[in-house]
Amino acid sequence: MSIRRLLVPVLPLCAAFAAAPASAQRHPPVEGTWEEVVEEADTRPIVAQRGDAGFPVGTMGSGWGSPLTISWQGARIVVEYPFFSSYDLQAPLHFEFGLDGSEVENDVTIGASRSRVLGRAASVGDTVVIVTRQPVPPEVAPAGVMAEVRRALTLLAPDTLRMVTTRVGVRGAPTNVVETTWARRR
Amino acid sequence: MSRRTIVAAVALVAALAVPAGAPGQTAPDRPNVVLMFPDNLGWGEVGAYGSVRGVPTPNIDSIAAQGMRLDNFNVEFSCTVSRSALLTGRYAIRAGAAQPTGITLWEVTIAEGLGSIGYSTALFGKWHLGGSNWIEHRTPIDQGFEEWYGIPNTSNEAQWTTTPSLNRNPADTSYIWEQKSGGSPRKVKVFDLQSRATLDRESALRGVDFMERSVGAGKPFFLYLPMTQVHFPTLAHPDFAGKTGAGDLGDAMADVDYNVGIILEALTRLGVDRNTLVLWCTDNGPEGRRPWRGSAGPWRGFYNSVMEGGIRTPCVIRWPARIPRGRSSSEIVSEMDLFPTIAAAAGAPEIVPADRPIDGIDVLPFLEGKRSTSGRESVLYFTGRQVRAVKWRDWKFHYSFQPEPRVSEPPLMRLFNLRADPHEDSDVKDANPWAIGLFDQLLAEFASSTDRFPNVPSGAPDPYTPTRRD
Repeated sequence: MSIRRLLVPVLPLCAAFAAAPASAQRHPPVEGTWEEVVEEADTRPIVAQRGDAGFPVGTMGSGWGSPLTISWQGARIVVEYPFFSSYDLQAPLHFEFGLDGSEVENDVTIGASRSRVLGRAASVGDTVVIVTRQPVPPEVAPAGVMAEVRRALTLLAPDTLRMVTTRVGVRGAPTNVVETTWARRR
Repeated sequence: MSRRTIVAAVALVAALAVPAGAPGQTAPDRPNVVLMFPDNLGWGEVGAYGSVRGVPTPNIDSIAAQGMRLDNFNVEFSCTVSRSALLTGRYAIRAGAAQPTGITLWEVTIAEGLGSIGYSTALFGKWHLGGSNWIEHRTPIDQGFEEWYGIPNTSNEAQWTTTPSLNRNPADTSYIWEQKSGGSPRKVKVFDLQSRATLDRESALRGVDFMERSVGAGKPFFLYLPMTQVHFPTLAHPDFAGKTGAGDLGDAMADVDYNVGIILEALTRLGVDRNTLVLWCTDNGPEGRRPWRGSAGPWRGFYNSVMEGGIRTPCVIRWPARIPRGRSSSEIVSEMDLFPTIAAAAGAPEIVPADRPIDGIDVLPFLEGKRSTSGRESVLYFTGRQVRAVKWRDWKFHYSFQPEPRVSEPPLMRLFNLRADPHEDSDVKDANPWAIGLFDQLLAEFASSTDRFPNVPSGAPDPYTPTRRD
């Protein structure tokens, strides 16, 4: 699927951030627990060519773990998923994103370090758009530069969710787009 | 006109073009170069790096103490490709290096370069760059060495006499060979479990003889000592077998260190230790096959993977005349950097070919303490014909995560910060969405260079004529 085709449904929704306040929005029923549908093909590297070198094309994934729990809490959408193993005895990662146009700051432990994730959300029709920004390390870009990730969560059916994750390239780097499918856990 | 003659002629023309009084070194003051390159020897076996088994390695440690210990020395993931990258200064994928076929004679090695400016050159130990048909025209002699003694391929062939089922062609027997420039390869003896245990000692002693002859002739020398330890079967010299209490691997490590000592002692005895560049580094991470599994120290993985354990290896370097003593660094350095660095040390950067991509850089100013950084920020890692991971500064991006050979874990891509997570345990790509774009750019630069200079196809016959797309 082309990047352009994937971005088309996302871009108009960004305008929704400037639209009606959260209380006036009708949210699509994405709340619940979702499990990523992993096809066998998704677990195998696809070898493409770059120059004369083969290149195993893995996937960046959605950027979120599975199972994924989504809920509405007032003017915020809440997303949780496990990052560490059960043995590690750590709480799942917890994110809140403002639905009223405000950007909520999340401080989470991903890997061996704390990460700051700023996020806001909006909904249009059956799609929820969540845009997050994360600081870029100083060795990559000057202070203040943020990496942006856009996620469009669309209900294809009551129990089927499509998520398009768009990682915007920093400093002229290419943008990466990944589409994943999720099934509602009953 | 042979290729070696052409290389020598080019070097001669370049030398004549240097104006009188220009900086550079003349034959009498060119440093000798000793490059020791043990096999499948992981970071965790060496005293200077923490020796998990506690086997003393005073001779290797002395090189670090008298020079520099590199803590982020990067190699290719397996024997043949690593030797190709070491000797050519190029990613092995560019040379089409592969175990069954080796590399083409179009590749220019350190030995050819140094030989072209008057060095005596020799290899004692393991070659593994000639492929299965090495004897016809891909011996070390064909790649710039004036003499060699050892095994053309790899150490596990020593098992063929006792376990023929391990040999794909049971009619074959593996031998230890020797050859001198102008002559044909000659079988010396069967390579079996007995001769496997003593080969490195023989190589070290032959190395001493070679150095004595070179010094006597007043010629600078390049001694390449690709030791066969501690590759499986890890069976040490009888002097050390069963002596360390640390198993076969511990015994073999003591054996390696002893042979290093033989070389260092000879340099001192011959009075050339001050102006000899001594490099001791290993071809890839630790042996991964049981019962001789080695240790990668703090790193995860074994050879045949691009985990840090597989591609970050010990490397100590000394050159008393030029490199200050007692330093260590975590700056990224690659085995590919050794060719340009040795060329610079010899005062002859022109021996590094200019008609093809050279991935190595001259890190001599860094080793000399004239520069705080190595000048290298990234390394690409390949397995077979595929890009598998890229290291950039403290970050490492796995395009297809494979913690052990033949093991893949979805969703395949992984990002690690090696300072925060040296064991490559916790994937942080989701906390660093900038990464994929940056690493894609690094790969695109490499791909662009192969568009202009296509890689040599694996198995390409000699003579090889490169194609170039401008």
